Amino acid sequence: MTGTVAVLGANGFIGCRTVELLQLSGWANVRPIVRRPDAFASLSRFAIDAMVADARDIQALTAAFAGCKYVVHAVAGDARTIVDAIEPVYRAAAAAGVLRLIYLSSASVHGQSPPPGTDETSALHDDQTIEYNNAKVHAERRLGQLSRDGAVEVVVLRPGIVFGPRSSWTGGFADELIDGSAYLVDGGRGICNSAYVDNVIHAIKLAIEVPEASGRTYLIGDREEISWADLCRPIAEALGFDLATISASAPSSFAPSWKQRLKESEGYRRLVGSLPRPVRCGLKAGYAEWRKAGRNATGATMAPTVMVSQERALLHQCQTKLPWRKAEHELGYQPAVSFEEACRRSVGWLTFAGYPTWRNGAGER
Amino acid sequence: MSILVETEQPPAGRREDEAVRLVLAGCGAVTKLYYAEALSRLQGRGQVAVAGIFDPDAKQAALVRARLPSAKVAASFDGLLAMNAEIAIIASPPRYHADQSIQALEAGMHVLCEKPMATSSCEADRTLAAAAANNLHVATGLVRRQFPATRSIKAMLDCGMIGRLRSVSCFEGGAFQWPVASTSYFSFAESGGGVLRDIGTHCLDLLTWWFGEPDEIHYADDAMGGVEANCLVRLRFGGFDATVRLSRDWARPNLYRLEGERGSISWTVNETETVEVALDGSRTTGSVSFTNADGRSRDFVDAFCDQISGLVDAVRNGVPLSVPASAGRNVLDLVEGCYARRKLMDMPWLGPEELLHVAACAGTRQ
Repeated sequence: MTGTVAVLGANGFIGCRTVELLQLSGWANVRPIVRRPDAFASLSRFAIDAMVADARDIQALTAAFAGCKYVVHAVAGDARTIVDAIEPVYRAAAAAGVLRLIYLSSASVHGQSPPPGTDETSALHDDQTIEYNNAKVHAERRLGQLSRDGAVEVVVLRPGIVFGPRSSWTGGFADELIDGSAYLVDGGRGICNSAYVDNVIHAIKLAIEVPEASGRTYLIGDREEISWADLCRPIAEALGFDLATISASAPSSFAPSWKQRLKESEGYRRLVGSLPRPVRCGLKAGYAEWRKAGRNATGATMAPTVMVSQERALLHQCQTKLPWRKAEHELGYQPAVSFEEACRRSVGWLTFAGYPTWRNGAGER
Repeated sequence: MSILVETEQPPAGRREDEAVRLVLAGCGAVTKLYYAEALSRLQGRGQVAVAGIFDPDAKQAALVRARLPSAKVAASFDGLLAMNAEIAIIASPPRYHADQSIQALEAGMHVLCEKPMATSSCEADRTLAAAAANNLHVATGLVRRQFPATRSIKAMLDCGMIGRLRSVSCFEGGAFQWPVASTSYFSFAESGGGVLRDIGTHCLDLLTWWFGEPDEIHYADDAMGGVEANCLVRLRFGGFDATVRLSRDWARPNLYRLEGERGSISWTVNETETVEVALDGSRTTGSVSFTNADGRSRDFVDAFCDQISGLVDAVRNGVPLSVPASAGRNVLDLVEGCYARRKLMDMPWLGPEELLHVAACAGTRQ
């Protein structure tokens, strides 16, 4: 068994599955680290101790990392959190004597629709239109600067579209299909640089194990070249939807509406997050009622509003399959789960989660 | 089974219109979110006087006292019991519910205990016995029974408005966001279980209130050494099945749907007043908003007010409790019935290597 592995951001989609897989496979002692106690709810199904630490709090992180040989940095968040967490995590890892830090960056550092020939050696730009991409670029650069002191070994992984149980690409897409907001630009013919979550975790394990990985950066993906329609079709079929009906065109410009700007603003998110769940549910239900009442009053049947985001439009029109040759040669990476099997497992999770799939309800073992 | 419905005489020297003195144990999330505001409203109406509060964490007690400035902060639970109150509200973590309820009853106070009223039905029996032995009321915090919406559903079912039931499905949950103080909340020792013991208590109580005791129970969850974050309950009630899916990690529409021979009723979880009704013959559907007979709208905090007022009414005027403590005990029994039949949920995303470990983990509890 490998030494203790701390998983920072353990309640997120990748962090949660990482803890689950490492715990159930017995590959390592795993220590989930979450920002607030309530974030441990999902992982409490295991007999496992969690630590609570904010990714910007060096002192709390140092205590949380104590005794860990490895740290997997899987913290999600807004652009500011992505950048601001880098230094505290690195400094705390150094203070706690951590041997190696695995940073989960993103293939998005190359843009959502990278040019042909893109690989790990391609120049990164921090003037991209998608703020998330720039934040990941800044985070990687900062980590590179910090790691020059040699206190902690660093490996950077750049997975593509990470999907699977509890991901927004799986459950989120199912929600969109059901509420009528799903779309695929140009029918989803563009290349999807998919990375099934278990394949990403396989790469994490190799990044921990392979000594030569220190200081390197790796793109990670699935073996198969697939389209966005390929990714979405199994979900649509399981829920009884026809993908052909959700094809959309990308708008000529992406000026956000006032509603989009409001929803994406920090203040709005903070306000919504601060409300107790019953209040949020009540407001949501009230808003839905208000919209419905408005529709009834006008007598109009409103078509579902589909707002094509710039990020999705770029993703859905991608023409480049990003390579994972470097990971293959240096880490010995081979995707552990085929795309077909990954889809089967993802749809299986939809059934588990209570979606109205053709399997019609979760079963019992 | 109602523990005490006889009217007690008010203590000598107390006037009928005098505010009932009350103490509160536990200044955690449920108090900060609901009880503090409810008590503040009731104090404003002159119905209760909060004499004291207690929490082992003095900082939490100070935060609640800021909203209930007339209350004194007790240094200990014993100190709280010495404050000469008529009612004690127990809102501490679940593992303290039974012991603190019993201590309060033995100190001569009526008790309103937040749900679950204990972490096991045996403990709940001890609480009920203490109430009976001391001739005092014990009420349990099944707050959803106070909603005009859920009471209206009961009335609609009782009068057969949607005909004989065909099926019931309930989904509740989503990413867990209750502001707990520590991760120890998620241990069996602290809470007596996971999502079933938590929101499942409310859900199963509503179902048994509406439909009676189930004839059959089938239960599966995802606990693998810890407490369940997801569970699936199937209950057989006479001629129909009720399926309950609870989750702490992924949201689906939080909705109860009751399908009958002549129509359906849908209720959005924690919607205090609104119910959606569809009647087959009329080819209509509509949202119906119910208020209490006083015409006042009821929000979530009002439901807590009503819960406290119900006990005050029972103490002062001998009005039977609208939610007898036996309901709190019976739902614990049903939760235990589920755990006793526990199977592992199908988790088809786990790989072969993981599945080898699952069975070994699943049989143990932290």
